[in-house]
Amino acid sequence: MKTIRVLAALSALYVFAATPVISHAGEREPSAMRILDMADDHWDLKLKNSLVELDLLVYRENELRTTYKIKLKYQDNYHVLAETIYPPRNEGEKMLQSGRKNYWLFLPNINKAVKISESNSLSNSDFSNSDLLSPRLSHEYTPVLVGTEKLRDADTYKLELLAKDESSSYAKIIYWVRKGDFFPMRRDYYTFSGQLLKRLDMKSSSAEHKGMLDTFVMSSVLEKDKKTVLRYTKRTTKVAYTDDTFSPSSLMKR
Amino acid sequence: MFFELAYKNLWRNKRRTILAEISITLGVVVIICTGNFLNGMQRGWAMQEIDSNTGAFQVEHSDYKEKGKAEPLKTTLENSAALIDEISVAPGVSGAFGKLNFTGMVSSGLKSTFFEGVAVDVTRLKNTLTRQEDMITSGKPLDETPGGVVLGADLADSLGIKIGDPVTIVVQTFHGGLNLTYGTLAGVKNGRHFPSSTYLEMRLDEAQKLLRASGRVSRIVVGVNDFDKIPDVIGRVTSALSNKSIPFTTRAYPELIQMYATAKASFNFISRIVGLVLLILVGGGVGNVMAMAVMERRSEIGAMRAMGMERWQVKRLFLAEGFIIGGAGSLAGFVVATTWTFIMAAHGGLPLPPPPGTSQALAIVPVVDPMISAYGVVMPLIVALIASWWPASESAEISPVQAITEV
Repeated sequence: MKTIRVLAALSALYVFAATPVISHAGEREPSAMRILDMADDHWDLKLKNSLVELDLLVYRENELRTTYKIKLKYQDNYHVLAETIYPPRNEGEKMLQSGRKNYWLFLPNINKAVKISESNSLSNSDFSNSDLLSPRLSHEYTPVLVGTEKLRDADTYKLELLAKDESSSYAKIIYWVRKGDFFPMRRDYYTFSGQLLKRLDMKSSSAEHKGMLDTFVMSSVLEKDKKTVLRYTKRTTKVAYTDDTFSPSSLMKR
Repeated sequence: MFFELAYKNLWRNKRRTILAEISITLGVVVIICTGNFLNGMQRGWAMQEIDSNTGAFQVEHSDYKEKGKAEPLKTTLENSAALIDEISVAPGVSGAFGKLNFTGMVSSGLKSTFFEGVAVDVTRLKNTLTRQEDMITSGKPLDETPGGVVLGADLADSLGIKIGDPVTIVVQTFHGGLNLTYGTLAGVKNGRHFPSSTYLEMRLDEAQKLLRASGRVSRIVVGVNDFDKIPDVIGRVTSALSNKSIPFTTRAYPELIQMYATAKASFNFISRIVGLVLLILVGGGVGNVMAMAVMERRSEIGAMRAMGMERWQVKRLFLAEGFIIGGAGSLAGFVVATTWTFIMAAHGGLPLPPPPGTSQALAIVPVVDPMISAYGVVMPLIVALIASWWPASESAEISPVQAITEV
C-alpha cells in the first residue's frame, strides 16, 4: 500500500513537472523539464567538444587569496578533463570525469590518480567537482516550476529541483532561469537536512562570448565573505578528442 | 657429597663469598625489577589507553582496516544496536559502544577546515571508557545535550572558537549527497598521540542522522572486566558473532594503540641491554671468585689428586661451588625483587605527572613478569656455571706433584 502511494506521488510529480503551466497573462508556460533542459543547454551544449580556458578566483574574507588557471577539455556531460596550469605548485593536477559519478584526481608530484567524490571541493574553492564538471541537472533532479520572479531586473522562472536519489550532491536546488532565452541566472543549493549550503550566480560578462554563460560566482554560507569566481577566458570549439583523453589510465605519466 | 664439600669450601673465605653473593643478588634484583617496572609501565600505559580511548578490543567491518580511511562510511556494520546488545552481555565484557568515523568540513562562520570525525554513543561510552573525560582540557565531554560537539584543541584554535560558540558541520552522506548541521562547541580534547588538529566528536544518533546512515557504525569498542582475560573474551565474542552473516573482524589493543608495537619493542630492547650488562658483571664476579679459589687452593687440589681424586671429580667440585654461589644469589635476588614489586604495587606504584599538553597522569605500578623473573633467576645461574667452568678446568689439569711442591 505504501509503495502504491509513493508511486502515485511520483507519477503526480512527473505529470506536474512535464505539464505546461498557464501564466497569469494567460500564456502557456513551458514545462519545468523543458525550462531545465533549455537552461542546461546554455551551459552544456555550448561547451560540447570544446577546449575552455578558465580562471578560478578564490576569495576569503573578501580578499582574493588564490588564482587558478585551468584548461577544461569538455567532450560531453560525462567526459570532462580539467588540468591546472597555474599556479606552478598546482601545475599538472588533473581532474577527470569519466562517466556518471566517476571522478578522478591526478597528482603529478606522486604520479598517482585517486578516485574522488563528486562533492569534493574543486581546488579548495567553493565549487564542488560536480558543480563545474556536471552542469546538466536534468539527469539528477526532477524539476517543478514553482513560480516566476524578478531577479537582477529580469523576469525569471523559478524551478525547484528535487534529487532523484540520495546519491546526488544536493537534496534540492532552487534554479532561476531567465524567461525568453532560458539563460541560467542563479542556483541555490540545499543539503539533505534542508539548509542552504551555497549560491551560484551566473552571468554573461565578456563581449567576446556575447550571450554565453561565462562567469560563475559561488558563495558559501559556511563562511562570511567567502566566494569563488569562475570565469571562462578562452573557448575553442569543435575540438575532437580521442576516447583515451578521458580514460583514468591516461592520467598518469608514462 | 660434592655439594656439601663445595658449600663448606665457600665459607672458608666468607668475605669473598658474601661479596660475590651480594653482587649476584644485586644483579638479579636489578634485572627483575627493571623487567617488572617496564612490564608495569607497558601494562599501565595499555590499560590507560584502553580505558580512555581504544577499549580492550574492537569489532569492525572486515574491510575497515584496509579501506576505512578512504571510505569510512562504506566499511560500516549494519544493525549496530542489536550487535552491541549481544556483545555487551558476553561474559567478561564490561561494556560496548558504537563509533562512527566520517570526514567533512567544520566552520566557525569565519573559517572552515577539514575534520576527521568520530561519533559516539555517549551513554554506553561512559560505561566502557572509564577515563575518557581525562582527555577533556576545557569545557565538558559530550552528554545528552543535543548539538554538542567536542573538538581537538588545535582544531578549535585554528577555527578561533571557544566553548559555547556555534559551529557548522558539512559532510558527505552515506549515499553521496551533501548534508549540513549546526552545533555548539561543548568541549576541547587533547592527549598523547591524539589527532588534535583534525578531531571532531559528536553524538552517534545525531551523526547517523546527518550522514543518513541509520543504524551504522564503523567500530564497536568493547571494554572488559579483567585485563588479563582479554584473549578469552575476544574468543567468546568472535564465536558468538560468527553464527551471523556479518563481515566482521576483531582487533585487540596492541594493534589499536598507536606506537604500541614500537614502544613494546623499545621496552624489550632496554630490558635486554640492562640484562646483558648485568649478566656480564655477574659472570665476571663469579668467575673472579672461582679463579681466586683455584689459585689459593692449588696445593689442596694437588693433595686431593694425590689421594686418588679424578680430574672430573675436582672439576665437578668447583662447578658445584659456582652453582651454589649463582643459585643462592639468584634466589635471594628473586625474593628481594618480587617483594619490592609487591610492596611498590601495594603503595600505588610510581606516580608520574601528566605530560605537557595533556591532563592524564600516569602511575607506573610494577607487575611481576614471569618471563623476566625466570630469565633473572636462570641466566645468572647459567652465567655463574659458565664462569666457573674455566677455573674448574684449570684446577683439574694441575699436576699433583707440582701443586704439592709449590710454595
